[in-house]
Amino acid sequence: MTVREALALDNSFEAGTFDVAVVGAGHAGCEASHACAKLGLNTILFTLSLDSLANLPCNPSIGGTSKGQLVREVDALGGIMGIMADKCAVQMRMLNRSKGPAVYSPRAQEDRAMYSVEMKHYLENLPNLTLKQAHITALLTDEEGNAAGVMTEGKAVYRAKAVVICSGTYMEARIIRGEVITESGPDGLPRSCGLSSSLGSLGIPLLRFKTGTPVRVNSNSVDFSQMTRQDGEDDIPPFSYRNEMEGKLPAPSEEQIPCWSIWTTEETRKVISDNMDRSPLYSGEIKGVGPRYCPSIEDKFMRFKDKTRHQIFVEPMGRHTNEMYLQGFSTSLPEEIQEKMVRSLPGLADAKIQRAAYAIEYDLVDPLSVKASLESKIVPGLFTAGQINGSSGYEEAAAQGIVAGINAAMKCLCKEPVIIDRSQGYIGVLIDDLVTKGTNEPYRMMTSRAEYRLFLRQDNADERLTPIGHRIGLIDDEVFAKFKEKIESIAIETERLKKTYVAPTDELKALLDTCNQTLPKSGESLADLIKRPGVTYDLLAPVDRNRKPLARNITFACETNIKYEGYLALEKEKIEKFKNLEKIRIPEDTDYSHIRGLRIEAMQKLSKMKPENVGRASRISGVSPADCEVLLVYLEQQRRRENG
Amino acid sequence: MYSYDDEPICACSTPAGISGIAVIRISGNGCGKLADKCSVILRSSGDYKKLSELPGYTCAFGYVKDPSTDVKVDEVIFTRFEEPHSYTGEEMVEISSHGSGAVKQEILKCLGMSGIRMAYPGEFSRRAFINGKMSLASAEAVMDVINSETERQLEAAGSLMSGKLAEEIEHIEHDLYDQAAMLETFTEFDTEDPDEEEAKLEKVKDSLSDCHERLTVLCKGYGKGRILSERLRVALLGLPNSGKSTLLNTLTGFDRAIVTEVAGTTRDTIEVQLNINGIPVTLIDTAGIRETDDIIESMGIGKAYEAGRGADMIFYMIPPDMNADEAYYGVKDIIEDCDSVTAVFSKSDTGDNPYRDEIEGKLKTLGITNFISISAEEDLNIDKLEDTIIDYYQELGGGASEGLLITNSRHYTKFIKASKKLALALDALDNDLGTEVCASALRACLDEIGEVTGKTVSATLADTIFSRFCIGK
Repeated sequence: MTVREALALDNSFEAGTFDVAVVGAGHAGCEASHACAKLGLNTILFTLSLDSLANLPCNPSIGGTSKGQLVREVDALGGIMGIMADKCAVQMRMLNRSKGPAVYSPRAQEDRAMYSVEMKHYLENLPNLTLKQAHITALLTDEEGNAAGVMTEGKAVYRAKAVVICSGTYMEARIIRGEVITESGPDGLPRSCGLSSSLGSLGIPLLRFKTGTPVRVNSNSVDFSQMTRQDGEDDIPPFSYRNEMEGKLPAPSEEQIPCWSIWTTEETRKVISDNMDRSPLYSGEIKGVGPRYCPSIEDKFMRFKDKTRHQIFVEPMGRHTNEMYLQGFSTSLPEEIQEKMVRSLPGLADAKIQRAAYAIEYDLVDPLSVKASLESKIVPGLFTAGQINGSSGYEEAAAQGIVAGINAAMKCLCKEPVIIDRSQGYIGVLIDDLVTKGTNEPYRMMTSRAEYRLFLRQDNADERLTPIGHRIGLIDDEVFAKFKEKIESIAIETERLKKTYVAPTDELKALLDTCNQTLPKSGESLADLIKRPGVTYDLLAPVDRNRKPLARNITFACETNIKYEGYLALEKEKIEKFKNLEKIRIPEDTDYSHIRGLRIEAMQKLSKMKPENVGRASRISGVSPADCEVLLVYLEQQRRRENG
Repeated sequence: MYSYDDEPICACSTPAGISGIAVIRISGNGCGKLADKCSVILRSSGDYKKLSELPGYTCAFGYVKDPSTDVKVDEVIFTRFEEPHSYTGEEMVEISSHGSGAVKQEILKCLGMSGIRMAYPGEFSRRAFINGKMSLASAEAVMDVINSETERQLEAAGSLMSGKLAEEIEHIEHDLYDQAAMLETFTEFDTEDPDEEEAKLEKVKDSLSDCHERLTVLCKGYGKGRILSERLRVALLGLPNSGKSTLLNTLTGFDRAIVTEVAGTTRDTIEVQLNINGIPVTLIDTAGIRETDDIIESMGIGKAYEAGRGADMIFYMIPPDMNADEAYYGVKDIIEDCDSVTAVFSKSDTGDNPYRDEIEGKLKTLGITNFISISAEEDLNIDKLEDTIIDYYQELGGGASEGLLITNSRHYTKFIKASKKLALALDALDNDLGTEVCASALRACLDEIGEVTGKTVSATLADTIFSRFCIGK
């Protein structure tokens, strides 16, 4: 529908003109509208319910393996998720401590209600941003087919130069519990109707996915003595680099709320297998594709038949509620079965369920129709972010949200889009995977999806992305100056460690003995000592007499850079190779049917996807390395021809 | 990577190994002037004195000389081409020389000293292509080569890879991918059972070590593989009348095919090609020593040194009348580049060398440990000399079996890199640096192997495509 057609409808009216209209105020929409407003654009943010802004409808937690990295990256670019997550955390841990620093991942339990309230209040006070509770039912275009505004259920027409849609799981959503199906959004909120058919009528290909969430129980009805207690940790960096700079660290562990862990029992397994015929998944009622990496408990029992039990975490939902979330126990079985399942768990025999588990089905856009800038290939000026692009998870949504917001702003400002590549961040990996490979299930971030994992660490996201955030204007000069100071201190201290030699004294021997290392015959640099297994920066303090007191994040970065030097060099080499392919651009008007030697499948895929460069072409499924060789030779031929 | 320079380049266009004549190509604008430094024109139709003055498409007779010493290297025919009407579209010179390996090497060395660098594999074709000299038909032929490889993925890196070798590499690659996947699960998910994980990690370690071992064997096989394409060079060194020629005749006189026999014009050496037990061997007789008589310290050493240099093996002839000092100083300065030197006590039919024990003692200090007493006349112990050659060849392979020989230097380079990265991956596990660190190095290793098996795309591939053409073509 065009703006003109919309205004011709009965009772329709001009409601306002904005630079950017953002539809949906979940984690993607909040980041997108925040970025646009910060960049000085007149922005409006629509939500179905202002009381559920930035809702955490599933896990009351933010971060975790690879997701923690995403949050820090969003923060390094100038986003808000990190600041909010720090503010509303009730427990913080660093996952993967037993593994290497490349996969250390911060994770926080959040106060769900507080998170929503804080975000709303923050956005309400943001200049250039208008919040609006409304049900958007159509995307409007101009006469040339560019996105030009949106229309509400009440026929209010809002004009905008760019539209960002972050519809989450709301478009044409259905909630399923066994045989009971309700047309509703998550958490009893209204669903979005009409918007997806409006997108479909513009030629945007749609998909349908499903996801799910477990039950919540009242903590008064839980016997915690039968569970393993899991406390928060001290000495963890906050998500936000800006908090880290100012020394605003997470609350000490004794002020944090514990989580609990349990295992399913034989009885759990029996209840599930006895009632599998009532699962809508197996009866065929659910047509949407579910996530492999966050499966329902019945899925886990069906798919991993050799595992007799699965681990479940019992997590608090906030400081002012008794609700506890059963992580790892999502299900779409009927409510009466859910009751039996929960009661089969240790400590939950008398559990009072406050909210039942459910599966939810929703419409989304095929991400293959989206560019790396998150602008639609079909409707210019339309941007999409979050679950509408096939991802799952708050962090994945926020990561796309900030990129979509930045690029909607760039579009309005007639500037080049900002694209974060795979070597710069998990954000780049996430978006590149979605738009070049597509997905047939809700896409969850994992560290193994990143080729340059040793570089994409939670401790150096600022090094990778803060300069970009500063260049576009999301990071202010003051923060940037502090960032540069930090980078400089790391460089100076690393250099000092390489140049400072320690004599093989008894004192050093005693230190090295603690990690089974032999004393060197002559003096050895602190850096070389740190390279030895088990030797840390802190351990060497007694023999490093000129050491100045430095912040933990700086010494950690020095230690990591030194310990992994050889491996980081290998990865740098890989990144160089990668960038060489990304640099070879493919003209948009390339006619693949005229390239001799391309296989038909590759020709069709390339014609459809129109990759921007050879690197991206090489990642399209169905395009083989040999096809890329053909493409490389063809492009080189063209280049020579053009240069005469 | 994509910076195509246009510096003058040179390479030998005729196949490696010995042939009647060889053609060395030089390309790049200004290459004629550079080549003036190492060329002398003796006769040309227009009485030109310099190569660079030669009109395009004409020939001249002359010789190549060492630009630093003016010593004549080989008499040759020069042909000059003007840009853009040449194979590459640049100014070009072709040198037709004698075909022995040493001559070719020496000419390329002289060109290098004159400021003309060695071409990268396929660089001539690439320049032809870039300068629009490769016709549409040729360009299509390039595409067809690539296309045929699309269908035969295993042979993505060229036909030099044998079926068995490809299979072994696929196996190694497959095993490594399995371990990479295992490492990912350790990295990605929290363990529920630490003991089980420890056991699994041990298995990963074992498999990685095994793959490393197999890669190492493959890399060692390159030495042997190279021999298959370039022949094993065995130099016969010794004073005149020490029995070299007789031995040469005896070795070649059996029913073995003599492929070619070329008497060098500028260096008094004779090269004879023969097969010993299927091993292609070039025997080099340093005939020049004949004229220099007993002045080993002067000219003789120089010439023998040149013949010995580049040889894989040396047979050092010791006649019965040679004393220990003569034996010692006769070989001392020649053998440092050669790792297989056999001392041959010749003419044993005319009597044993009375100084034998003393000679052996002295030569042992030079690292020579293999001593054989022969009589070419009576065919005594000639088979032992042959065994020495066979053993040397077998050793080269480091246990690589015949079907698993890497003969392509690009493959070799990739596997060496892969092997180093795999060693780093193992180090990461040994030093408890974390499974993700190990996985990172392992992925880098797989990228290298992928460039041989065709699983990795890299921007260098366009270069690689042209590298698949023979050097100089």
